[in-house]
Amino acid sequence: MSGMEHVLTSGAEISNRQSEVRRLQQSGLLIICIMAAIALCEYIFAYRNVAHGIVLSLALTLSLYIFLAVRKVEDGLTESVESLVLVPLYILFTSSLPWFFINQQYLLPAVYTCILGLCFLHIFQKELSLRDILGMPEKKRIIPYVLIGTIGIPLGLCEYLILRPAPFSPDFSIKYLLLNLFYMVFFVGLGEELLFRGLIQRNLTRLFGWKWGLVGTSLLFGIMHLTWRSIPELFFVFLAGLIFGYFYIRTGSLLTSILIHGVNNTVLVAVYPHVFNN
Amino acid sequence: MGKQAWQRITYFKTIMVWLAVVLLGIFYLSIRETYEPVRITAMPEAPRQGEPILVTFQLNNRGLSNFVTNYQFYVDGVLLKEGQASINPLSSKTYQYLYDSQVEIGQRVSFTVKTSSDVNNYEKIVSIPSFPPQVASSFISFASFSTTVMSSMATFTHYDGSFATGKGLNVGLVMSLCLILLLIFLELAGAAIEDANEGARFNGGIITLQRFKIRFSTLTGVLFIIFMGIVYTKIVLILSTT
Repeated sequence: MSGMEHVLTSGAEISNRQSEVRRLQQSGLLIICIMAAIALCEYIFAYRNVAHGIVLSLALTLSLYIFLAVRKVEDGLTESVESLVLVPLYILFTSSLPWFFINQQYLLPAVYTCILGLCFLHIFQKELSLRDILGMPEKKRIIPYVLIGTIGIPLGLCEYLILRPAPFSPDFSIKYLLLNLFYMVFFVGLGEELLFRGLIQRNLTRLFGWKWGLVGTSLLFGIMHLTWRSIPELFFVFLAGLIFGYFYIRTGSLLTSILIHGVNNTVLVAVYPHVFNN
Repeated sequence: MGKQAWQRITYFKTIMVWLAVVLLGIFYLSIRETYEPVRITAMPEAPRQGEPILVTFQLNNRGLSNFVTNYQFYVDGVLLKEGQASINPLSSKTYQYLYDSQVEIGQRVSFTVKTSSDVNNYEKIVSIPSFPPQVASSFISFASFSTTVMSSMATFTHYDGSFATGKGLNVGLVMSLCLILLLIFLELAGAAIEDANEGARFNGGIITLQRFKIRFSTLTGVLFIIFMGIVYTKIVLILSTT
């Protein structure tokens, strides 16, 4: 290669790199704006006016769908925005259905059945592979993965010390423990992890790399817990999101994050309140 | 349609049908359980010697207006607690009592709650150690989420405040209007896309319309489910007033 050709190639490379950086910056800015809008919806919903929060979520969903239909954006960004739209849809579902008809002990399974339906619909429409998203491990890895799930025990203790919730069950018995574990793993854990780690983090990682994907998703995960109205809880959920996401990246399986999440929630509401109250 | 696509659709439909079954099952159980005006549970089901028994009783108001009722709580026929409760429409009030008497192993204890109001009188008895069926379904319901929106969203007051009242922003109306507009749009867009397909005309406008149609169909589905919830609530409210 002559000196002239080398200079031309380097110039083209620099130009490509610059356009790539510009593209990433624009995509990043758009994602940040969407996250800020979701945070605003959730803040208004939790702290100001429920009705305004719901209407804002509807407006945000409509705006994002119009944006995606009108503007031609690259596939990775479209995928990320479409997975982020599931969050305001999640707010609409959880806040707009007449849940008071449902007996409160079944409220969690009922709400998360809707969330799971939304996630599965997205997976079907986008022709994604559920097997890839869940990353089901080989048989020999299932036991180590289940052991990873026990990280939820100390994690749940931290959350208990922040929130100090009342017990979810009238007594500390194996029956209620298993029932709570079932609800928290198969509904709450599966639903939230499928949405946040399986869809959102996966798409953001493809667009911006694993570090930004992990931080962005954890931030959004924290924002979605604004309804607890506790600042320490927000920081805790952000850190917990980093842990769930980290294990999803490391193991490539959603099973680990679902188990950590499920165990964390179970000990939070069905074990520590009884242990500490005694 | 290829075999893989057919399998995909079958899996998806199976999952959705099961999710619908779970939701409808929960709905059925809820309707069946909350019909009673009083529910009592006693824990533990088989107390050890000297172990205190936690009795939880719930007074339900399935009516539309505020309901005031007198209640008496008896243990083995002895009055231990009485009072008056004012319960919001379509809500419940839960009371707990820790029965700390020395219960012998195998000794049977009966807990009774009587309510009396202008409308009706009701009595509910539960005995332990014999297994009461409602015990399996007793939780200290969502007490842990009492400070969050999670619990408030599950109340009629929240729903009524956002979806039914004439005061402030009526979310139900906004959603219904949005749903109507989306349905009209989908209908017209479907016809336009079909026309274009027949004439093999694929310009930018049709492609954009197709993108709109795909995205808005999801939102329309979600809004339709919410609309069904609004309609169901209205029907229940109308039926309960007649």
